[in-house]
Amino acid sequence: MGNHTATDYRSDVKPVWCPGCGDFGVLNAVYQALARLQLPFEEVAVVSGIGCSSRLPGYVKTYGFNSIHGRALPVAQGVKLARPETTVIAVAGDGDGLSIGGGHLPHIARRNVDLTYIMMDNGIYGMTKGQSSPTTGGDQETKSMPYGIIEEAVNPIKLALSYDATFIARGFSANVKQCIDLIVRGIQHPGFAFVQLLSPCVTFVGRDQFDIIRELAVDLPEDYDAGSLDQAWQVSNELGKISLGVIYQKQSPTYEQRLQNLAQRAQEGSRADFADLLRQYHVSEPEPAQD
Amino acid sequence: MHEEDLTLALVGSGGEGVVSAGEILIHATAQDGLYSMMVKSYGPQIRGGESLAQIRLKKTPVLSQGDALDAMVVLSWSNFHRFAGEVRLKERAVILHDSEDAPPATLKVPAKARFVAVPFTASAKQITGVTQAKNIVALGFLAGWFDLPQHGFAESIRERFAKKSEAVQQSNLAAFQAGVALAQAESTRPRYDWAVTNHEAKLVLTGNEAVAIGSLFAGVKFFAGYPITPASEIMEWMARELPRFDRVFIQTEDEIAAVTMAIGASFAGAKAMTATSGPGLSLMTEAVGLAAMAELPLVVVDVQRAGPSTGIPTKTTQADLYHAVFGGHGNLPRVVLAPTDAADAIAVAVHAFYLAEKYQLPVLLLTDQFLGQRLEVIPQVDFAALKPQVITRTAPTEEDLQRYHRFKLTESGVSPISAPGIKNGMYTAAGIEHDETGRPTSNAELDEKMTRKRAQKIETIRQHESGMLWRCGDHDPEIGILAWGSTKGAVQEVVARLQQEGRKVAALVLRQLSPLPLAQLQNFMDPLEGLLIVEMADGQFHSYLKSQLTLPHSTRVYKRLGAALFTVQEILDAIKEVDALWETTLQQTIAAM
Ligand code: SF4
Repeated sequence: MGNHTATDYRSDVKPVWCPGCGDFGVLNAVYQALARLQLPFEEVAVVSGIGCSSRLPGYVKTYGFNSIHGRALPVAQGVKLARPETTVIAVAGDGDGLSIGGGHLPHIARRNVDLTYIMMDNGIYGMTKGQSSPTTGGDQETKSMPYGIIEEAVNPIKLALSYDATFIARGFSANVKQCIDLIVRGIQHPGFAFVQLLSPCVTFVGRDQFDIIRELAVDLPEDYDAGSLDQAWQVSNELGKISLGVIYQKQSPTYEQRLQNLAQRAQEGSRADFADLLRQYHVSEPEPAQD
Repeated sequence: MHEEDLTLALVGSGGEGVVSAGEILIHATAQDGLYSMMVKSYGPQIRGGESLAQIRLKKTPVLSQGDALDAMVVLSWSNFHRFAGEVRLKERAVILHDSEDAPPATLKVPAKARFVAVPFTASAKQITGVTQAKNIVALGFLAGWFDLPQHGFAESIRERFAKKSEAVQQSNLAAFQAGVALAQAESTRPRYDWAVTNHEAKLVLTGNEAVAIGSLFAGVKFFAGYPITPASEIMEWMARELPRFDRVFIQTEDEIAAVTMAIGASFAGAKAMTATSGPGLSLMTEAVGLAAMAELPLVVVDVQRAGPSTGIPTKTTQADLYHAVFGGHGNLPRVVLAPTDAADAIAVAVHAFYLAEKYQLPVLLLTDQFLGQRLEVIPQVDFAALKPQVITRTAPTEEDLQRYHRFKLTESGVSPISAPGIKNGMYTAAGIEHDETGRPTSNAELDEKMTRKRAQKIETIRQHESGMLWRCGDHDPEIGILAWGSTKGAVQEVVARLQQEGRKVAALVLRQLSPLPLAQLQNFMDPLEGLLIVEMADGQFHSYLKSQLTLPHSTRVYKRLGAALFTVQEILDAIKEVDALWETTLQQTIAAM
């Protein structure tokens, strides 16, 4: 094991985020989580789609992939399944991950691919300058909803619960210490870990987004049982407060384990070889004429 | 040696087993040394409806499906009208049908065609107790009628019913024999001699299987796919075989997930691919741009079907050419390859991985329904000859890694590529424009440089790779044929026929559509008096060539869509039009002198 400090995980690319953006807190937490786990730089891949938050991979001195809008999860799964030794962290925004890429969430959850998915939720499209996102709430006015939102906001925790994700947590980027903890636990969780990090957009929502969240945020109580689906549903339905912490966790075989089992069944004891395979397509030698 | 060349069709309703009968016939006769090709025609419905299997049998490799039928076996007439347009009968064709099912009065057949009523259903019932085996009785009848060698049939029938009981196997063998006996009782049948002396090793496979086999041989480690006709067989093959080789198969939630997972896997260092058909390729196109921009190797197979939109999933076409060659936004360097037949599909798949891995870019492999789903008997493939093309990416050197520039500007356009696990090779791959290190940029000058760098790979390929041309015919042709992909077989037969007539003719079939091997193409065309361009699409190939090359003055295009496959005869007819065009041009030139 190396002896890396959090700053060692910083790349030399300077973040382009607006000063005060919630994403800085998330980035900081990622550095510290990697340092806490002392992961070798070359054994980590941070994969994103498109959006403000999706610039994050470039700021981390590991392998990174800043892909296309909405596709952080499938790209990340490709990396993980092709090279399971890699610690894969997918990062996405709420628009990226719940709108254009929303169709990938149920499927990674049901596969339980062993990676950590950090959704940096600011309730707005920041990169395209202030349109509503699936998590824009209340009667907020946005560039694309100038008369106020007329749709209900998506509740990412509820979604993750109903998709049967095996690890579900929520944090707030202003509470970096807790974010570090959630990311570390997400990485340590064998299987798909969904971590929603509330990460305010100071430019298109405004600084008061921090204050509003701060006012509503509470840590889950000491006696909270993350193994209880009932309690998790209750948390996901809370009104007037935002509970932070690990909301739900259960153990279930990972996709990688299932792939291994499947390979064993397919091989029936011995690995196939190409010559054998080709034999299926060979025409057997002609038999001598019998009459 | 007398050239025995037989084209047969089995027609029925879905579920009547015409395709399985065809498959048995192909495997059986291959064991006795014969070559064949079977094309299937069926409606897009899930069950029921029409179904047709057309088989051409020869002692030498079969190049095309055969123009017209020597014989047609009709198991039931109920859906026949749906095929009537596709079925061409030879002058003296024989139409075999069930005694209990008379041909419709409206049926039009050549004057000298002959109907033979055979008790397919009654025999099947008598021997097996049920009517299902009437396809096997019909198969036996065909074998008897055309003197097909019969040693292979017993084994092929047993194999087909291997999962059923011994009794079922026996009764099907008996049904086959009954069919043979019924045919042999007919004294007026023709006589054939199928005895072959050259029993070379053969493979029996479809084009889709060939692509899959080639990909596995090339070392594919990761396949992600989403079902779509007519490409699903590639996915299903991978699902069955990859786990046996400790490689990864995944069925994804959609085509976008399939291609982006493959891109993620490629980023992680694995040879990765997906396979789809037209509508799927449309969905994948943004991601193909990502692979080009992030300079990641990727193989995408498009088994073309008639389109646009849902089109006809079960009919062939060459109309995805524009999409493959030009599709996508921005400057998107990609390679487009097109195999010409099943044997070639193995080679081209290997070549696709070779180019993708060597040049770090997306390679599209364009096949089509005709090639993908037809079953062919082909000579043994020389895998040893393909071996040199099985390459692994060159990892960055120690020196590269000292100050690693993933997207280093080089003369060839190819830069040292690392992957997770390689120490000091960390970088961020991105679809966003970036500098040599991978750092995002919107600097115009840098963008220009990086765009040039990526485009340079295409020029490097054009100059240093084979160009994947296939040529046949005379060395100094007067008339030339240009085609691409799966129309090769028909074109090759056309050339042979014209040569028999004493014409100086050659054909060039492109297996690499992008980049076009311009110099070789120009060389081919320069001496020509007339050129025929053949394509199964509405002129895409022609206008693509025109945009890149100067075509001879007397150029004609033979194009039509793929509801029916090209026949040798219609291309021969088109050649006459080229002749006429040349004639007129000549006279005009003389008149102007
Ligand atoms: S626009 Fe909003 S989300 Fe984007 S960087 Fe600025 S503050 Fe952050």
